[in-house]
Amino acid sequence: MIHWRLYAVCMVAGLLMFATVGIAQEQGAKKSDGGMFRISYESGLRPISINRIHNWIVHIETSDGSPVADAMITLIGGMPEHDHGLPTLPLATQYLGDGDYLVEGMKFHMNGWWQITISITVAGDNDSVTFDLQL
Amino acid sequence: MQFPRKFGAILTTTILLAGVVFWFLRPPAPGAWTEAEFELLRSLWIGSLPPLPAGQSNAVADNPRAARFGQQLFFDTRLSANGEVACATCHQPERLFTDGLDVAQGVARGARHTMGLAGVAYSPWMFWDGRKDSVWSQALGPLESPIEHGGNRTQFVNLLASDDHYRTEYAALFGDLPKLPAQDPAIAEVFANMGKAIAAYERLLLPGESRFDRYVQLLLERDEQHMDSVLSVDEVAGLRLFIGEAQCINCHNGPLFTNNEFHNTAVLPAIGKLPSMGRVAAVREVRADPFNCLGHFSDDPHANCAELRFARTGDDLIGAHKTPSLRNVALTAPYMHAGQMNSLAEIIDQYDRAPPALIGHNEAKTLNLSRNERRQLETFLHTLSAPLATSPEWLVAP
Repeated sequence: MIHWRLYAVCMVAGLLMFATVGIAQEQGAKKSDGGMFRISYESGLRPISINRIHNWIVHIETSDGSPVADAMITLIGGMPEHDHGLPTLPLATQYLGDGDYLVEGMKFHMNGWWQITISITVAGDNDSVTFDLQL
Repeated sequence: MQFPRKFGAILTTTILLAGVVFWFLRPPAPGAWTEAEFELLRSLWIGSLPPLPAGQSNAVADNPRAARFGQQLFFDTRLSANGEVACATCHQPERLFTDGLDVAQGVARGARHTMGLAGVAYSPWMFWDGRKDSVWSQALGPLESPIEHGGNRTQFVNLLASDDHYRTEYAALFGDLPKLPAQDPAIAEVFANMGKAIAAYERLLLPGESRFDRYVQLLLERDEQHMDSVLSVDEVAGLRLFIGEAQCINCHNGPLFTNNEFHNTAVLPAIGKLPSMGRVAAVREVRADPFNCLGHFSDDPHANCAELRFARTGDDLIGAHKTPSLRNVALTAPYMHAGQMNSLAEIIDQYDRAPPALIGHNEAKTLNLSRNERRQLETFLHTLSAPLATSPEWLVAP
């Protein structure tokens, strides 16, 4: 009996997925690929819109929730469907404390699917995370 | 027999839900737009054009007296090596500030096609490769280019000093001219100020309301009855392709129909010419430019200059050129950075085929539009024509 319910839930979920156009902007914290950090970002421009240069605050914490200071951050992005990158080279220009880093120079110049990869180096250890954005 | 009844119920629910989903995702009826399309149309509408960005590094950007002075400089052929070339030689008001030529003709034949100037002050980057980061800094480039005006800053400062009207205007805006003969940086300062006055003039050159804009205005007012009399069925079909299947809106976005950024779309160089490296070579140039936003001649030492500070270069910008505005595109042939294309049909064919690039890579993907769709797209581009929204007194030599 239970597997019929499961079937129904899957069917409805599948239909809802069809109805969802594209990928939602990921706002919540995401685990880095190697599991070292949890990373989230907050855009200074909300909602994120094209052709406007703006700042992000990137928050980095360890997997157990302690804020990470002294991280070296690089941020690259692009549109996989168009084989081009961001129009800018954003940089982490300031540590704001509590695991927050100011990233200046964010800009998107086309609507569509973007990927932003944030690489983090702390005391020689690297890890990275990729966020998907649909503008 | 519980199984079939349950199965039946689930199947019915599934079909009903599929129906609901299909209803919401159904292709739009002719003339009707989905909510997403509606937002895209609004984003292209001239009414979405924000106020002009602050002049940041130009203290006289919004000074009417500077604009008048700039207009005089813009039309003055004395600012050249042979006394025959002014900004207006290539940026002709009667041709929407273009020249109708493949490449600019100054004191010699140039290498780049003349861009129109309507809405230029909205762009963070000037020239086809973006080697200048403000209108005032851009204006200085051609003045000293040996193939454009062919002049030099000392000559220009001497001209200002010898012309009573210019001397007075300059003094009123920027203070007295330096005692001549003088050297840089005093001469460069005057030269930069000339660019700032010209920029104050060029800020006034703004695009006007086209038939496309009237259509969107009526759409926003939900006035379906009159909408249909503004654009034909084919023009609407072309517009639908523009924001959809043909993907033109990817780069030609916003109310100026440009993102003012740089893309390689595999446009071949002019016959007999090497391909232009485009943006990839220009970033170094603009960073080193003494007249950039971070330079000594900027009027705001605290200006953020984010576009310049975070400008990026990279392999994907090899052969990338600036997206031109499409407003008045049907009236401003030829096209592309070296005027390589003469018709809109030729351009649409280029993007439809999306051939591999000679250098770098083509960002565009093959569209496979039908002949009729290509024709509709071209028809739509004609709806973007409109006189500039600039008072007539600015559109003639003073």
